[in-house]
Amino acid sequence: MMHAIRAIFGLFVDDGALAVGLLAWTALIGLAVRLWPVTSFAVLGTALFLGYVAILIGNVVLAAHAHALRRR
Amino acid sequence: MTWLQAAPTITAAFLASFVEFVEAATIVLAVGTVRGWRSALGGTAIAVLVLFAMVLVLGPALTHVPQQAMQLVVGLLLLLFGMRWLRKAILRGAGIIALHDEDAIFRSETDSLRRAGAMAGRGLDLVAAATAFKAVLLEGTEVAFIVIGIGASGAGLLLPAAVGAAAAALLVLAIAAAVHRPLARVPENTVKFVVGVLITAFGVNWTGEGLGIAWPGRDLALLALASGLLAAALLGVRVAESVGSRGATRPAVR
Repeated sequence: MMHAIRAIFGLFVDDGALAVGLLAWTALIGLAVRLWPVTSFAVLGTALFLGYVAILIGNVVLAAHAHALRRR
Repeated sequence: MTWLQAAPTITAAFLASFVEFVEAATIVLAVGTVRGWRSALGGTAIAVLVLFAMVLVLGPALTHVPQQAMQLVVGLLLLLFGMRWLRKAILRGAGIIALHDEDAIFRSETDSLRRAGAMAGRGLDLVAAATAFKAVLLEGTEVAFIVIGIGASGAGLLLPAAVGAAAAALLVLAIAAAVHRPLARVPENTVKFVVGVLITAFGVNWTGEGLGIAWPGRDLALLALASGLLAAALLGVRVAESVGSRGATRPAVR
């Protein structure tokens, strides 16, 4: 049973930092939508997208850096 | 429903399901080759029945969830799922982690199945059936999630998503039955790269709508998000390649 739960969890979360970063950014943008409903949705949509991209790129750069350190 | 809505859904469901079916087929082929086809196909059939039951129970339950809440939950799950694939595809493209090798998986699986003890006589070989069952259930769960996830948030999109997945299943079954070997020539990392981009685009789109963000251009926004993600992912490969190769050029630190 635990193996099955772990396998299903693994479908969505491979790198914990990436998952936490994406969820935290979603929560922040969700908060912004509630606090500033008059702000252009295009601005918040762009912020949501660019934030996700930055989190992804930052994560792969950190992984590549860790890989480079291991090779030295 | 227009082709503009259906085409990305069919493409994403087809490609994502294709990769999952290839992975499941590799294990089933390994089981069938080493321990016999009866147990391999028996385990596969039981897993397919369990998957059908899961979809029959969970599918109608989803219709009772308010649309905005479902968009947010499904969007976040698609986002996490797609980003996980995209991250791995970028790191594989940059040479940071090894490429997925169906031949190596086939060899490793056949070795471990040969070591797993004697086969049962005329009855079902439990080791073989359980191995096939586990592989098909896990990969099938991913396919079911992809179909429901991609199809759930748009009116009438479940059918195109199911059609894409069914086409992938038929294609993999036909190839596997014809060649009886793992589908090692499939450019799996390239497919995973594309699928990661498409599923993440769906995830961003649904998550935004779930948060109350009305995307400008509606359906065109999905294509814009996918294009932006593709550009960012290609940039990610270049940057990761450059950062990762620094370890090879500098002398070892003592």
